[in-house]
Amino acid sequence: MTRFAMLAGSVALLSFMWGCATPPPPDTRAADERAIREIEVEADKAAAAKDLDRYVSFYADDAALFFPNTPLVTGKDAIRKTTDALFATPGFSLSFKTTKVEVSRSGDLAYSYGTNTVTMNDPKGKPLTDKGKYVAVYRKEPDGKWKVVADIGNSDLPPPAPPPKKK
Amino acid sequence: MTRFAMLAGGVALLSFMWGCATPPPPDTRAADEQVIRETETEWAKAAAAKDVERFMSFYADDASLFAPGTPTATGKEAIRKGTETLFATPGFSLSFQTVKVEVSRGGDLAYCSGTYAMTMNDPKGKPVNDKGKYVAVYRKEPDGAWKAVADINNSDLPAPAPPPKKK
Repeated sequence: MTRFAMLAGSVALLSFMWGCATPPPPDTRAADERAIREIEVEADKAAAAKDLDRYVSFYADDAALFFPNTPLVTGKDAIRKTTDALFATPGFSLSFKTTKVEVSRSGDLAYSYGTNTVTMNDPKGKPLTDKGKYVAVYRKEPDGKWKVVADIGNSDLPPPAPPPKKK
Repeated sequence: MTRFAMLAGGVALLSFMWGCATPPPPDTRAADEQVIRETETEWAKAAAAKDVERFMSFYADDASLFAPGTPTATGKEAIRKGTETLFATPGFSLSFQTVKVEVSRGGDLAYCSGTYAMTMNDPKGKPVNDKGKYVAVYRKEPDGAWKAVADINNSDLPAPAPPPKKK
């Protein structure tokens, strides 16, 4: 009986330890990075087409938009309004290109950064092109889709010189 | 012998299943958020003191700084140059305040957003105030310290008017 108990105990212990050594969750980061790069390609196409619905669809409901020279815009409805006005600006065009994507080990949070080009007409109707950069933070939603939670950019170009004062 | 084998097998199976039910890794997000908020407070103190060394210590080695008016600066050497120039600008002062922090489930990536106030003298020596917003993405390093990998901001204030053209 004793030998049986010892043997059963050993088998139990070894099996328990073997069962305890559960493998870590699968590393989905390469696939996540590809998914995010594809989203940015699609968003760039939506911007080129000025397809407001498609462009806004990439934002999470609680996303925040950090546009230069205007206060923070939060929530998808407000982002839609802002983007609508932007797309409607005379001479407007926007294109952007991903440089880098980094995904958390748990595959639920990520960020990207890249470069962009924005063109708009000045008050005289002359197209002005601005080159800049952006950072986007993404969250993976329960359905597995990545959505933008923070979108921020700024220009690479120095600000215009202040007007000369008459002496 | 057969009954022994069956019993041993049963014990093994049950032990394995019990061992398999390992709890998920602990959720450190609340603690991580606290640390990140404290990190930002310390970072703001370094900015207030114009302490370049201390300010630089909050960036990861491969960090990128996305400052307005200049292209993306990647790597600590490039970021340091920009920071030295900024801190040395006459009348310079910078303060910032964390608003939101979000941490990945695995506690290795996070982002925060907040507001800043910056002052610099214009070429005539008059202080010019700027208010704006920022996003910082953080990565937890192997030693447990959170370091900024992306730092980007832009102003809330309208862009300065272009200089009037003489007719």
